[in-house]
Amino acid sequence: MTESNEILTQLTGSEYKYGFYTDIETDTAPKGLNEDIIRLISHKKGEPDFMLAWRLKAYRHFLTMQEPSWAHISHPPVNFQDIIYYAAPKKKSAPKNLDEVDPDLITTFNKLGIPLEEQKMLTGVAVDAVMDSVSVKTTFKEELNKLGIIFCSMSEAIREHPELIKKYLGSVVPYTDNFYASLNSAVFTDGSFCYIPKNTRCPIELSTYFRINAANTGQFERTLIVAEEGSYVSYLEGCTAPMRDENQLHAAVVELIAHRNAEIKYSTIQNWWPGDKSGKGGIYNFVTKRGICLDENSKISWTQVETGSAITWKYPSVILRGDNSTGEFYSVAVTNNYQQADTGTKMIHLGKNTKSTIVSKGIAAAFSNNSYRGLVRVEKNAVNARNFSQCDSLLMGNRCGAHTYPYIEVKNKSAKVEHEASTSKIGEDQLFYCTQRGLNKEKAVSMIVNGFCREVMSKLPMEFAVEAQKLLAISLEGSVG
Amino acid sequence: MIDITMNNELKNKFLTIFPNLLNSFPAEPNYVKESRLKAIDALAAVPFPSSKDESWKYSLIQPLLVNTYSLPGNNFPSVKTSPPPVIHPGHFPDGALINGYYCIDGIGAGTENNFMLKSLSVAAGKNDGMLTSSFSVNGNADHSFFSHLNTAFWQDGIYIEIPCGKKTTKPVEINIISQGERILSQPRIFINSAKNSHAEIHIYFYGSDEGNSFTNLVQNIHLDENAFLNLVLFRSKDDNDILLNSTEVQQETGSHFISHIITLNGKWTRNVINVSLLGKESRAELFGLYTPSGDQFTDNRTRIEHRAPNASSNEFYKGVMDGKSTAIFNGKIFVGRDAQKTNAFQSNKNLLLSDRAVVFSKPELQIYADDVKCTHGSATGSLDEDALFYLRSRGMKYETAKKILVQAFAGDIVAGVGSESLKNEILSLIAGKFNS
Repeated sequence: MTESNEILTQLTGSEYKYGFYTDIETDTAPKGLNEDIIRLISHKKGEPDFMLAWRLKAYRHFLTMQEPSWAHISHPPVNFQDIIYYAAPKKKSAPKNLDEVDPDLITTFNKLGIPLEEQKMLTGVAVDAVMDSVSVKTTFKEELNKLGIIFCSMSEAIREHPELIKKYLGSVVPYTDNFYASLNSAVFTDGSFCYIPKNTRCPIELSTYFRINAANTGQFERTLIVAEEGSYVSYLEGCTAPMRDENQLHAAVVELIAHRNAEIKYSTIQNWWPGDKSGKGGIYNFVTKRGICLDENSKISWTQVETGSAITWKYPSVILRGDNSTGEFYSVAVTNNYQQADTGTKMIHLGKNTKSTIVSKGIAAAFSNNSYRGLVRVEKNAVNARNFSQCDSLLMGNRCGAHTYPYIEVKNKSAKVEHEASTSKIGEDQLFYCTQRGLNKEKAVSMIVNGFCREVMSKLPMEFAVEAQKLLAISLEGSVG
Repeated sequence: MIDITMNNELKNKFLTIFPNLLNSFPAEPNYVKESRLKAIDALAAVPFPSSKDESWKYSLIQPLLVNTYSLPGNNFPSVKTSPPPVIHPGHFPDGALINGYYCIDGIGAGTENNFMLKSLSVAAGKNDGMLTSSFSVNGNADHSFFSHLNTAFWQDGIYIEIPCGKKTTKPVEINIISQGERILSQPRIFINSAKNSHAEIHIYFYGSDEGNSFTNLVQNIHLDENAFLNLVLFRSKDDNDILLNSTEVQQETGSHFISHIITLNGKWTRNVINVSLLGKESRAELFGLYTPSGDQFTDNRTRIEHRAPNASSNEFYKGVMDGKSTAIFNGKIFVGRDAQKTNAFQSNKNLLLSDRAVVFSKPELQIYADDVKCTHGSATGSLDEDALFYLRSRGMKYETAKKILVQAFAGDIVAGVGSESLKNEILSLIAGKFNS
């Protein structure tokens, strides 16, 4: 027992590896939040008037709201006046190829192990790299253009496709939705926009690398993906952040819209700075992610691997409005040291024959707390709705906590809703079985943890699966991966 | 008599009449007075429940608010003398409460000497050490408003003690009865299972014929080392009463507690049971069955707290919803840091028979110890088409097939009731209810 405890300590005691800081000059607004800041952001972005009006409406609504307190997390109050709401890397000129990009930026990406060139050449993934709020580089744009696919930064979309933005922005997550969504609607600086036209299958996996860089800059990203009838898109979102002493707030909003027969697959790896071993610093990740299966036979699938952030507060959801639509949620959440995660999903069944699947795996180590919180709601008209949920938690060490809070609401008798959850530690018998076959304990723990998460890992796209395993290894350092 | 409405004003009215009430109990020992004073302070600090409270999120509070209730003013009679209605012809209950007052007539006390049953106010007067500590248990957070209200204003109740090493030969039967219209009664029951004792206790709720009465019952149960208690709480009468029933159980080393909370009928029921496993190797088994129909409402809340190592808990709740009814299940398993080697299992299954019925299920796990095995499951669906087809292809009417399937579904829960006669009574009532 003591031996395996040592291994656990060893493998859960690793330091954050991506803690470096690239010194890039930024064009920053003064600290604080008020209508003038919002006007400044909107002006800097060259936005049309309707956006400014929308932002201001959101801000005025935000002022009437209170910070939510129901999650199983605790943190000192966030001072919203102590945040810089706008920071843009200084533009030398709009880069057309890699040579024109700030070499510091390229170095940053190289350190992350995701060099743009390599990705471009080897993996065929288009990268819309977002560094501190402004999109600095977009690849493969021309190729996508030929198919009519729009994949650009949110600011560009607002300027160039206002009709689409007007129609879809805030249609899934309205600015009144919740405290952090309201804040985001008022002050979001950039993000990605993606539009897949009718009957088009996006040939490559679209990917955005978010990265928080300048000190004290909250990131307020806004992502909007629209999949027209019969289209398909797979979208990857990955995050790492440099080490910083003060807590940084991240309040992103992601909206997905799937029309008839369309499918959206959204995968996330989140590995922001979780704070140091004593629980100091780290990112506050308060994110609203929601998709709507608007018409028949549409499908939205969320896959996430959450290893970073001091606090994660995130519930990627699907509104199953169209008949026969499908929603999926696959999640691995790892918490270590003093990390806190309160994450899960919502599946709202409105249409007939709608299906949803939830698989959530939580791993808690050291002093961390890992909660699953999910809602499955079957409304009156959702005839033959079907849901299956499975939430498993693994505890490593006796100072951590694992919690499950599922909400199940059924208003139609033809619905079949199942929920299962289990909590345990790595079984002595499992360890024994592995060690008995000649594996050392470290390898055995690694195998068991990998096996525990396999159901979710297998849902990740190829490129991401490799990275995800790396991240698991880093989060539970020593033997895993 | 004072007429009150159940809203935030209610609290203030209670706070106003409290000093008079306290004076009307001159003979009450100090520790009871003190517990009432503490409860009234606590009551002042909590708001009246609303749907904004997590623990009342799905509960239909409206029925609590529509009526005005009569409650005793400053002149509590100590004993109600009229005999209780006969619920089970042929034999007397061992104890009965009418509108919260202890009955001395029409009960079969003294037939057995292996348990002791008396009026709570009489027992409290003796300044029993056991009672002192129990009164200081001030309800639970989930249900605190009404628990505090009861602790401050309880009229009377029943005290049961099963002495050391004794075993009851037949179930102890208690009837809780409402009479009259719009009466608010607040009885309290203490059950003290001493070391190595063994008992089965049945508590029947019998609502008023006139309707719209409100019973706010609080029970405190203590199981000492190696004690065994099988408790059945049974509500079957189709009445218009509101029943709030809050049960606090504390278990010492090696004790074994079983509860069956069965709500077949009644307009509005909220059963709260909180079990604290304080001693190692203690064991709790909670079973529940609810079958609301029409516009009935049932809300079952359980909380099992594992505070000691090597304890186990097993929880199994089932519901059958028909008509426009609403049912809630909210079960929480809490495992504290010291409760290593805990085994906890929880399951909730719901059968929806109508498109207008609604069910909310919220099974929760909150776990702070690592060497544990905890699972929960929740499943909601309708009658199995294949099973229905199987029965109907053998010539059964749809109604008969449905009745058989519902009875089988409920049978799992009822199987653990120790008394055969009660088991049969429950099953036949279910068959009767779902026979159309």
